[in-house]
Amino acid sequence: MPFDFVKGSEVKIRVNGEILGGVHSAEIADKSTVKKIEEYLSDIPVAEQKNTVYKIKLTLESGSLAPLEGVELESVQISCGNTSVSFGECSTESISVKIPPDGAALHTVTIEARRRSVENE
Amino acid sequence: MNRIKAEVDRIVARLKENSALSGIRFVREYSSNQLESPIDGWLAAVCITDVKLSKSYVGGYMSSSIRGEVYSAGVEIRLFAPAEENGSGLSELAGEIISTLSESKNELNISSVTASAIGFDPNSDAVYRTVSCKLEFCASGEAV
Repeated sequence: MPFDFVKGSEVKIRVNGEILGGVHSAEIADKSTVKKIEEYLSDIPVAEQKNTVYKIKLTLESGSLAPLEGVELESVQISCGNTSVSFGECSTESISVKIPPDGAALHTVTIEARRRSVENE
Repeated sequence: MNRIKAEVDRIVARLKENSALSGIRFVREYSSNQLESPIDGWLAAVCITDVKLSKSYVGGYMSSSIRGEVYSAGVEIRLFAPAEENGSGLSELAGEIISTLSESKNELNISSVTASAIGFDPNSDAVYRTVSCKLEFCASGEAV
């Protein structure tokens, strides 16, 4: 195979196991905060505590003015071919909607996840 | 791409419902039948100018149950005035077409309507005005 890239047309996004439609784009980011533990009195760093959260930003069209309203977010899964990336301990960080005078309303949903796992079938 | 033809047929059917436009004959431009010359009576030649992919979705899912893509198409309705009328009433009828299309924007999935200035077609020896509209449609939606 000459090209072997992830293509958006082959990616499936599932929320709580259900396929999410109308998605224009998805953006996934890792955000880590590092806390340094310093030695008493000398302030020399002796250890680090790393905490990572994952942000999933979805831009989507929906038939509803309030997509994901009332949905208890448990998991978000993004899969392509044999690989799937699952995000757990999810919570909705922000939802915004842009309503143009013509065309469909565009929703931007930002989900924060605390756990991520990659599975290869 | 038969869906686009069906969408254009819906537009023409909607225009025919308007009694003010009942005297217009709608024909397909670029069909096997040549446009008549000289023009006898009001004639509207309808053609699809362009079709392009306007929206695609991650995984191809328009919604959780339908896969497909959204295309936008340009449709031109070229309204020819009868040879003996010398263009009289052309703008009124073109205006009627514009208002009918504008009123049915949501029903017919039309995103914009425009009209050109009055022109002269030497081939048919008639004056004409072109009403153009952009419409959006799902070319091949399939249930999943």
